[in-house]
Parts: sequence; structure tokens; C-alpha cells
Amino acid sequence: METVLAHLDYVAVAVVFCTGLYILLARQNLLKKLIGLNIMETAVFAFIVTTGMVDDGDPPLLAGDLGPAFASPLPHALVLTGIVVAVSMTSLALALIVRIHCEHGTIELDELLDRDGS
Amino acid sequence: MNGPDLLPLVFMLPLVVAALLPALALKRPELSWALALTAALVTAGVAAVLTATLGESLALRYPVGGWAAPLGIELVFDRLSAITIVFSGVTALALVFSRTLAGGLGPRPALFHALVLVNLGGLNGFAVAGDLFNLFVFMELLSVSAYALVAAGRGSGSALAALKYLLPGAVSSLLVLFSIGVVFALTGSLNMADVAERLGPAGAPAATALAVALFASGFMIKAALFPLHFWLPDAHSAAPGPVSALLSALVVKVGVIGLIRGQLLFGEAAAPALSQVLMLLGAVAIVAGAVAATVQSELKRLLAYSTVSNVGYIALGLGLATTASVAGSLVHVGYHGVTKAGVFLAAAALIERTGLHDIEDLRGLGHRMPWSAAAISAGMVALAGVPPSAAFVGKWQIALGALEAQQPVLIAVILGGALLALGYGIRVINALFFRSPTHARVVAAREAPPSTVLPLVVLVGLALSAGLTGALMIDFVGPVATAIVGAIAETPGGR
Amino acid sequence: MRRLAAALAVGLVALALLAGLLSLPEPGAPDSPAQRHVSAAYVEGGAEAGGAANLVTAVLLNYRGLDTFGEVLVIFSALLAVLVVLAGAPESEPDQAATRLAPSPVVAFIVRLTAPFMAAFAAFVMISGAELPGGGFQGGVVLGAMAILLAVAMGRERVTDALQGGARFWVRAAAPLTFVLVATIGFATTGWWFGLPGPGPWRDALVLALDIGIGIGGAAVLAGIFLALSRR
Repeated sequence: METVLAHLDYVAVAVVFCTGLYILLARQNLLKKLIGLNIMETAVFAFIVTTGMVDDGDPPLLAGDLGPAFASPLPHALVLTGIVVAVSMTSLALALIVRIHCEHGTIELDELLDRDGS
Repeated sequence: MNGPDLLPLVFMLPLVVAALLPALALKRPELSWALALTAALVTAGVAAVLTATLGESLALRYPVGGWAAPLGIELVFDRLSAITIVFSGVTALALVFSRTLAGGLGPRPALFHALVLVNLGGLNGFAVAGDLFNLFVFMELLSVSAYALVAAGRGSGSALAALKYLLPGAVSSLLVLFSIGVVFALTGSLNMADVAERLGPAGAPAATALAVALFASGFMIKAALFPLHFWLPDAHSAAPGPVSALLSALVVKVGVIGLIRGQLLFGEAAAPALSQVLMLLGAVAIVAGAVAATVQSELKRLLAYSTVSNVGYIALGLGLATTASVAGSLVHVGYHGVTKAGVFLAAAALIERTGLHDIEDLRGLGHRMPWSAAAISAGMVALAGVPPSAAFVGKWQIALGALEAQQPVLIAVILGGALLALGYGIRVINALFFRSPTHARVVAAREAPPSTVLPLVVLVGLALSAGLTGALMIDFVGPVATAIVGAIAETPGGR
Repeated sequence: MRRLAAALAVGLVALALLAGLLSLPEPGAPDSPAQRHVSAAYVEGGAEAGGAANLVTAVLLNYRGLDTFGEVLVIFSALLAVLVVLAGAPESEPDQAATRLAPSPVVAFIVRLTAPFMAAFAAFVMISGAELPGGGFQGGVVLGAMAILLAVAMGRERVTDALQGGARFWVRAAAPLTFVLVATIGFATTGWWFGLPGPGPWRDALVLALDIGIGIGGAAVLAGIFLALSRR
């Protein structure tokens, strides 16, 4: 139990990740699937930033009078890049969904698969 | 500029030209095509020079920006990175092929060419990455371009196919990123060589196992290893012709290379579970892919399932974890790339000229389009693994490995897969050459222009004769195979 | 049925995740490997070695510049991707255009009034990225958001008219091209691609150039993506 409390941040990450995964798998609407994916991505970014956190630490800015403990700058840089990548994927997915809607008139996966099969 | 200075160029060159193409050549398709082709060819040359510079040493290392690892990002050109020659060469040939398709690529071909170059830059960067997060960034670069290229052009099902490719692809990338996060939390480093040393002493077996599971599942999805292959048949068959070639020949190999890097990275932590999973799924994939291919009516879907089967061979070889079988898998990565590219381009030529996709509709086309039909026929024979074709080398080595590992059942699987592949190859040849045409468009079809036929002939020619250089290739990848087997072998005292 | 299968799969994933994550070093511990190894080296190097008092900027542009180069190319490719994908879509019917919301004059006025301040803030974030939290892409996002707000409030035609023109792909490619320029200068002066010279005005200038290039390029790409998507 103490382990769970000490790692509460990571437990939260797992909960959010699984929520996003469920939405991605269970929902038929393509936009909702995309949102599920975004939620999963957010969980992973939160995880990465958390690995660099220090209790009572300062942000990694060397200016003014600060204490000895710094949060690590490396995860911040990774997540900044990661967010840009996620935005890129989402933009492309949205463009595809727009086009699917123009072509087929629906963005529900089960309806789209029915039309495909026929 | 000496040897190692060229290393970053192998991805910088295509990427810079890609960034410039829309600005320079948006309204000039011919210029855009010429620039893109030149970039791909020069990149292939750089890759060749780097391979030659490699010589006897195991790897060329380049600290980007002068910052030594693990502070900075390290690029590593080892013998596996020599695959960049295949990546660049096949991309160049696909670009040559795409010249006559210009109408079908949309109103602004410069965007298409730029995306192809981005794809190449991502592939090459992925192959030379020595840093985990850098690996991820290049992987996303090639993924974004791949998803978009599936939907390039006006096919009405291609947007859905692209999305069905994007969603599992994005999930798989996320799994890999999650794994990288776990590895960072355990070791504090992102440099692959550094991490390999630090994972053991970090002493958190549950977390390490999680990292392995996330990494492996992510790349297995990307490699389309059965049963995670579900996205591939739609994506590879709905894409425009040259894009299918790029996807099946090159992009799918990213999954395989990722698995190989993973085995080198995680070492013992991955064995023996990962090897057994690869062996089992690989064997199933060989048979399932081949059987599925046999019952397909659409030509491109047949080829897509053939890719699933061939990825099975590569996974099986890796899973057997003997030097011979791993070497066979490594050379098959390159040989299958060349062969499948040729076959897909040939299929694209046949489909382009007639507008027909079904094998039965294409009956008799062999006599109207002799070169393209001959190319695809020869290519399918090469795929099955008839000596001295390229596929034979890899499959033979993997079979040797199965013998070494005392798994005779697997030899039957390998042989069975090859026979099935011969079967569906003969089916295509039969339809093309030994049946009378049933469709009006076949009767009216004429052979494709030389610029289209040339890449087919080059690729299939290479595929058929590559077996002659087989021994050379096996020797070349030998050190990598030994490294992989050594990394995953469980030594009594631990590492 | 599908929901049950999904829930089961997700449950398995949750168990696996928890089993692994709970065995990691505690988050927030100052002596975890994530703090000690590479991160400690960055902090010890300080602004001298890193090139910026904002260590995250130092990591993004100096230590791990190649990652940032890849990142700006990914977002640029996303723009190309969106354009290519939408080019293949059938034209929308005319009555869809009629259902678009007309911009409210109050909103339009407020947006026009605050736009210059938004732009100033974006420029500030871009330029001060070396000292304070911020940086190239962050400022670029603010600038791009301003362009999107203007398009939403004042009608997208006003913004597209301002941003179209032969040079638009040069502006959109500003981020990767600036990066390549600096990388080449680095190669010429330090012998390493993407290398930055030692402490001094040259390095500060190059870092600033990178921040501005990334910012403007990023803003143009984001605005471009929005405008392409909003045409439908």
C-alpha cells in the first residue's frame, strides 16, 4: 500500500492511459477514437515529466537565487517535442476524418465497415 | 569532409530538399521530380560511401553537435545501417516509376515528392540512430509521411485505409515512447549503448520487463507481425502504386529493425520470452500470410499478405536466435525489400494501364504488357525463394538455423511457406500469360513507357541474381548476428 | 460485446502497467537515476556549457538539437500531409458554406484590438527563451493561435488573403531551413554538424536565430494547417 501511495503519480498515469485506450477501442465514432488517442498521449507525457520531478525542487532555470535541487530539464525537452509530434498526428488524423466524411457522409466506424464490405 | 562527417547527411539531405521542394517547385512538377530523384540518388551514394568507410570496424559513431554521448545525441552507422542503401535506392526507383503517374498524384506533385523525401529521411535517420528518443523522432517522421502517402491521390477508400493505418501506428509509437520513459526512469540516460550497460544494475525486473513488453509490442505492430498485422492489407493495397512499394518494402522493416535494436538494447532482459514469442508468431505468420495470399482475388492484397508472410520469416529467424538464422533474417530484410518493391511496382504498372485490380480481370495481360508482366512473374518466383533468387538466401539460412536449434517442425513450416508462395506466384503467372483476356481493357492495354519499366527490370533483376552475392551478404551481417545472439544469450554470471 | 472485450483488454494492460510502474524509483526522489546521470551533468554545466540559463532551451537547441530539428520537420510534414490528404477529397456542396457562422462584430473588435498584444507577447516569449521559460516553438504557438483567432473572428478569407502568395512555403519552411543554416554554420565553425560555438555573442546570436526561425515557421505551419482544415 505504501508503494502505491509513494507512486501515486504513476498510478494516475496508468489510470489515464487505460481510460484513453478504452475510448480508442470501444467507441465507434472516429473523432472519439482520436480523442482517446490524445488522452493516452497525455498520460505518457505526464509520465515522462514526472520522472524528472524532484520534491520541493526548482524549475531548471539557472537565474536568481535558487536552491540546490533542480527538476531535470531533459524530460521537459522530450515532452515538448512529443507534444509537437502528437499535434502533427492529430492534425493529419483530422484531415483524414474530414475527407472520410466528405466521401462517405459518416464517421462511425461500423457504418463505414458495412459500406466497405458490400 | 571525411567519412564520418557524411553520417548526418544520410538523413539531412532528403529532409532539407523536402523542406525546399514546396517553396521552389510547387507549380513545376518536372523540376520537383528531378530534385527529389537527385536527392534520393545522392543519398544512396552517401550511404554507399559510409558503408565502404565502415570497412572492417563495427560501427562509425558521430556525436551530433560535438556533444559526446550520453550528454548529446549519438549517431551510429553499423552494418545494419547499411540498409540505408536499400532505402535510398528503392525510393529513387519508386520516384522514377512515379513520373508517369503524375496525374494521379494530385494537383501539386511537389507535396507528394516532398513527403516521399521526408519518408526517406525518417527511414535513414531511424537506421542510424544511437539515441532512443532520436529513434522515436525519426520514427514519427517516417510514420507521418507514410500515413499521408497512403491517402495521396484520389482513391475513394484510401482515406479510411490511411486512418486504419494511422490509429494502430500512433498507438504503437506511443507504446515505444512509454517504454523509453520507463527506461529513462530506470537508467537516467537515453543513449542506447549507455542504457544497455545500465539496465542490468538498475535492478528493477518488473519495470524492465514492462519496458521490454511495451517496446516489443510497439514494434511488432509496426512490423505487422501476426496477429498485429490487421492494418497492413488495407493500407498497402489502397495506396497509390509506388507508395505500396515503399510501404511493403521499406516502412514495414522499421518494425523489424526496431525489434533488432530492442534485442541489442535489452539483452538478457528480453530473452528468452521475446525470442520465443517471435519464433511462435513468426511461424504462424508465415503460414497464415501465405494461406491468406492464396485466397485473395485482388492483386495488391495478395502482395500485402505476402509481406505479412515474409515478416514472419524474419521474426522466426530472430526468434531462433542462432547466428545462422539471425543472419538470414538480416539479409532477408534487405533482399525482401528489393524484391517486394519490384513486384509492387510491376503490379502498379499493370493496374495503372488497365484500371483493373482483380487477378481474374487481368487475364491475358501478359501478351499486351510483356515487360511488366514478365517482371511481376519473375519477381513472384524470386519471392518464393527459388535459387539463386534473393529470398532463397535468407530462407535457407533461417532453415539452417532451425536445424541448429533442433526444431525440425519449423523447417517444414519454412518449406511449406515457400511452396505456398510458389503456388500463388504461379497463379498470377497463369492468369497473366496462359489465359485469354476476359476484360475489354486488357485487350486495349499497351506496355508502359520505358521510364516506368526500367525500375521494374532493375529491381527484379537484382532480386533474381542476388543469390549470387548471398555468401557475401551473410558474411557482411555476420558481426551483427553474433552481437544479437550474444546480447540475448543468458550467461551464467549475468551481465 | 465489443465493450466487454475492450474492457478486458484494457484491464490486462492496466495490470501490466501497474506491476511495472510500481517498481520504478519513487517519483520526486532526488537521488533517482533520472536525476543523477545525464540531468546532473546538464545542471552542472550550467549556462556556460549549455548556452542558455533556461536549461530546457539549452537541451532543446544545443545538447539535443537534432531532436528539435526532427520535431520541426514533423510538424512541417504534417502541414504537407494535411494539404495532400485534403486535395484528394471531393469538393464540398455549396450549401455547406451557407451554414458557417457569421463572425460577431463584438468578438471581431476585441480580437482585432488584442491581436497586436498577442503578437508582442509571442515575440517576447520567442526572444527570451534563453533566459526565461519560453522559447521558439512556444512563441510560435502563441502567434499561430493569434492568426487562428483572427481567422475565426474576422472570417478566414481576410487571413488567407494576407498569408497567400508565392513566398508562403518559404515562411512555412522557416523552422527547418533556419535549423539547417545554423547546423551548417556549426559544421563550418566547429567541425560538427549542429554544433554551436563556445560562450560568446556568436552563440547567443545563433540561439536567438533558431528561436525566431522556429517560432515564425511553427506559427506559419499551424496557421496553414488550420486554414486548410477550415476550408471544408
